[in-house]
Amino acid sequence: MVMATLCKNCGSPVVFDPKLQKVVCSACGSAWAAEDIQSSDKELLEKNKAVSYKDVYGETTREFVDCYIYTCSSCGGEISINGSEVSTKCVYCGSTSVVFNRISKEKAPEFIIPFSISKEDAVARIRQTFSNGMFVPKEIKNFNPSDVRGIYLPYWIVNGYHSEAEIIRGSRGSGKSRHTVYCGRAGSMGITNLPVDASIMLSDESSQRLEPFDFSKFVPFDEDYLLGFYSNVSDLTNVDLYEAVNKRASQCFQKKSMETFSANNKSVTLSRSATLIHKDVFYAMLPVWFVSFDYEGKHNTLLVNGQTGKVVGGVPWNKNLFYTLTVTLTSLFALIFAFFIHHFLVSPMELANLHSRKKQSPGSLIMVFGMIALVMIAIAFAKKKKVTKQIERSQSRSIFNFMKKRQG
Amino acid sequence: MDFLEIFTDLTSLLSGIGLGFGCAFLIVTGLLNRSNNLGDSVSDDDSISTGILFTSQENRPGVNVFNPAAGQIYVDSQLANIVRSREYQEYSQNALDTSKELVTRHDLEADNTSMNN
Repeated sequence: MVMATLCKNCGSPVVFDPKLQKVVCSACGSAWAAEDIQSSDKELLEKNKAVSYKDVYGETTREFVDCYIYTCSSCGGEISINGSEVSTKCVYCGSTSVVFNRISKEKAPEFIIPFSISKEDAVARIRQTFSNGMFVPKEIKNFNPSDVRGIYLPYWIVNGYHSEAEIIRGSRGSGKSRHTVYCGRAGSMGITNLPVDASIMLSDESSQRLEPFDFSKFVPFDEDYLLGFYSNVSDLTNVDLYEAVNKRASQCFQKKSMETFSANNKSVTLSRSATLIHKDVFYAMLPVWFVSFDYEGKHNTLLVNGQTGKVVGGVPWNKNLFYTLTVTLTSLFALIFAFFIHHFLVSPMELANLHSRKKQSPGSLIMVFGMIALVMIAIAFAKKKKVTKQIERSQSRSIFNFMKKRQG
Repeated sequence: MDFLEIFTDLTSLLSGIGLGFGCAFLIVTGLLNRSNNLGDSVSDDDSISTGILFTSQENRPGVNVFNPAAGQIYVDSQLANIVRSREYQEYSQNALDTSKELVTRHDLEADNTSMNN
C-alpha cells in the first residue's frame, strides 16, 4: 500500500517542515503535528500492490532487478522504488509517497530524529564551510547544487559487551638503540548506544563521520515525519550487524588499550575478539541531507547531518595554490633554517674544532636534521593521503547512486 | 674560500632546505586537511563505550623477537578465560542471536618483519 497524506482542508499533498517541526500544506498553509494526523486519513488512500519492474517491462538490466512499481495515490503516475526504500517522491506531481506496508512488514523503526535543518540551511552550511576553506577552488565556493535530497537513514542503536585479547607491538629508543617491544592486553568493555548504519549501500566511513547525533531528541516513529523526504529501511542481517559492531568496538578497544602501553609507532599485531549484542537493540531513522554538485566533470556528494548541520565529505582542492604555497614557504623556511644552522651550530662547531683535539663533523648534523625532515614529510604525506581518500569517497559512484537512483 | 668553508656552507644549506621543505609541507597539508576534509571526526570513544576492565596486562619490554605461536597461545587463552567468566555468561543470556563467531585479526606482514629482527 502506498500512502500519500493529503491536506484535510484542500486535498493537496503535505510535507514535514523542519523549521516548524510540523506537517504543512504548501498550498493552503495548514499545519499539524505529525502525531496528530489520524491514521484513518491514511487508510482512505488507494491500496495498490507492488509489481516488480521485470513484470511490467519484461527482461531488465541488473540495476532495476530489485525495483518495484507502485501507483501514485495522488495523480496515478508510476512510482519506481528499490528494494529498501520506504518513502520517495512522485516524479509527475511531486507528492511524497510512503510505502506503508513496507514499514509494517519490515520491523518498523521505533524512534526517529526529525529533520531540524532545512534544505536551504543545509546548502547554506556547505557554502559557509566552503567560504572558510583556503584550498577550495572559487568555482566550488560559488557552486550550484545539482541535487539536494533529504534522506532518513536506518540505524541500529546497539548496546553490547566486547571482549578482546591482543598483542601490541611498538618501538622504544632512537637510532642504534631503537628496539621493538611487545605487550599483551586482554579485557572487556561495555558498548553503549552505538549507532550502526543499517544501509549496506552507504559506506560505514561516511555514516560514522556524520556522528554525533543527539539521541535525547528521539521521538516515537510516525510515518508522517517521512513526508517530503526519502527514506530506506534496514537491509542489514544479524551477521552484518555483528560484524559492524565487532569492528567498531575492536577499533575502540585497541585505541584505548594502546594508550596503556608506553612506546612509539604502536600497532596491534595479533588480536582475537568476541562481541555480544544485547537483544534490546532498537531501530531508528536519522536525518541526512545529500548534496551533490559537479566539478571538472565529476560528481561530488557531500553529506549534512540533518539534526546538527555537520558537513561531511572531501572537496577537490586548488592544486596551483597548494604547490605555490609549498614552494614559497619552503624557500622562506630554508633560508631561516640555513642561517640559523650556519651561525649557531656549524660555525661554533668549526671554531671548537680549531681548539680541540676531538673533531666534530657537521655530517652528523645533516643526519639529525635529515631524520627530522623525513619524519615531518611522512606525517605530511599521511595527511595528504587522508584528504585524497575522503575526496575519492565523495566522488565515488556508490554514494552518488545511493542518492541519485530515486525518483523525483 | 677553502674546502672546509664550502663544506660548512653546503651543510647548512642542505639541512636548511630539508627542514624547510619538511616544515612547509607539514603546514600546508595541515591547512589542506582542515580546509578540504570536512567533518573529520566520529563519536568520542567514551560516549560509545564504558572503560576497559583489563584481565591481563603483560608488559614484556626488551623482547624484540616476537614468537607468533606464543602470541597466539596468549590471545586464545586470555579470551577463553573471559568467555568462561561469570560476567560474560550472564550477558550472553540476553544477547541477540547472531553467529557469535570469534574474530581473529592477524597482521602477518608485521610478524614477518618482527621475525626478521
